[in-house]
Amino acid sequence: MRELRVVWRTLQEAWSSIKSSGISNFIVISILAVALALFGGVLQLNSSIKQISQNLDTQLEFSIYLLDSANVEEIARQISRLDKVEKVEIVTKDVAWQRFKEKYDFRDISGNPLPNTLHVNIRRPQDLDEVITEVKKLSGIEQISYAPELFNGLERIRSILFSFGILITLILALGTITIVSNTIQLVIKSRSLEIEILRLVGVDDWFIRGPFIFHGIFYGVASALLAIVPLLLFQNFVWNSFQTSFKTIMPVTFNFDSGSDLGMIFFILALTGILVCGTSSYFTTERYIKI
Amino acid sequence: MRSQREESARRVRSERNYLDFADLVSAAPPWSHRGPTATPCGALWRPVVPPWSLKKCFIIQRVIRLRNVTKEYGNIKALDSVNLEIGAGEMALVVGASGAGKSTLMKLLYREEKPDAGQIIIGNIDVGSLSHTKIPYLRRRMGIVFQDFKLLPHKSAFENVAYALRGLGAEEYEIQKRVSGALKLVGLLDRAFNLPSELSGGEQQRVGIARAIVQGPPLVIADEPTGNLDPNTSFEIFTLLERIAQRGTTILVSTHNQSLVKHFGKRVIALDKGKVISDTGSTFTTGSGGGFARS
Repeated sequence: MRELRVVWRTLQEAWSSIKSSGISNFIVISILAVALALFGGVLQLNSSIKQISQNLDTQLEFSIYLLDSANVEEIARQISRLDKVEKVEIVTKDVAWQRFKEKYDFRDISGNPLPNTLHVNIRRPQDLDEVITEVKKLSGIEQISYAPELFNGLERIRSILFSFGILITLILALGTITIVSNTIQLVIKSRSLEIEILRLVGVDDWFIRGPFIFHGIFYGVASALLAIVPLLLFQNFVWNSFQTSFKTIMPVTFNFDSGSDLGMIFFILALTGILVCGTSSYFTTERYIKI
Repeated sequence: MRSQREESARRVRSERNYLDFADLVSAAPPWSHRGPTATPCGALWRPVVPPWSLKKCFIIQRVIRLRNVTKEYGNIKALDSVNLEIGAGEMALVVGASGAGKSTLMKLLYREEKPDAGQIIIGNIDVGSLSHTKIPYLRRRMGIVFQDFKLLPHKSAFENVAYALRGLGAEEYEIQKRVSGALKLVGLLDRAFNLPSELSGGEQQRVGIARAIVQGPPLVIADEPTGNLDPNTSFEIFTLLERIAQRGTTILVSTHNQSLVKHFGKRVIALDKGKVISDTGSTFTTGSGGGFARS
């Protein structure tokens, strides 16, 4: 019971310490929130690209764009004769143009720039390379769009973005540690009389240091809560638009479980914030509070 | 005449009540169950010493023992081979000019400083060899009174006294009882909810004393408690400290006020350049080799 009372009073002291910090709370939380939002953005982007890659990896469909001079039916027939091909769908340039016009209102474009397209479904994903090699031998083919190509590209982008994002986040985290440490140091100085009284009457070490560590932890949690807001916006607007646009260039569908991802990202952000701020506060109290 | 008698009886009753619940002269507050236990009587760590055994204990107990204690700051010897022994319930005054080593002696006792040589024993605890984690346990068994009061300006007198008890995890009803008792003893119960800025210097120091005794320590250390006060208020503060000493609490006060020393100095330890130059009224006499024997 005594321990619970001390913990409760430590939290009360932490709250009064937070209140006494005033405007500097907002500064610290804002800066940390930016760092965490960036980190969260990197995590979110990484997770999204990973999901796209996984989706692409399992796609059993690829697209063939034909030259205008090519015989669409003949090429479709030749491809459908291949053992590992399950189905070939012809999308003529007129149909494609019609669909495009239904989706986007481009009245001032004259003529039809889209090619005749074949969507090819194969039986097993591992046969994809073999079928594509066969298809490439045919004449009249302008371009083949298939997932592995995109997959590799996305993997490269993901890796670059992730490394870059982590680097920026680390730099910001270091800055945040300094700011949190300075803020806690100021609070310690402003409460030096209380600290002196407490230590001279024999109060437990952690009751003296605890409020400052909780103060730091509060910064971590508050910043994580703030950082999740732009990530939600990113999820709802930017990502959804990207997904829609992507469908127009690749005939693939995506299955996203963004909700659980966001929950996990928030958990990681809160944990990171707590670790960064808590550790920073702990070392500041170790340095500036002598028992 | 009758009202005077009633008043006196009321005071005695209230003081008895205070002793009953506040455990003022026992070694530790009842909620404090941590720390090692030790021998009876001399046990600073011992949670409760029954009030009826206190007198006996204090007669034989030496609360503070210093053996050849030396403390240096750079090349300056603040204390030089000091030997002292202070018995339970004694009120000892430490006198000396500025720089004589009075404050250093006080700081060594509550382990704000560590001796460079020698041994300081409080109760049965070797203060110098205490680990950092054990220092709070030592400080819980002593009250400290400061020259500059060290009161929190935004907290009332009551809250200032209660502040440390809250940090120690005392229950609310215990805090109410102990703080009220301590404030009553120093005569400030009616000013309990005033801020320090609304109190006079003497009243502020009395709040400081209430804070020092609220845990019921067997030892109170007061470093120049009247340094910022006028002569009349200083006299009041010393009278209060003497009353607390009469209850069995050992009190060590540093001062340079000669008139107070003349009036209250049953035991006067004079320091000069870090050495004890005289020790009058001691219960104990120093034997050869820094040992002690009862006088």
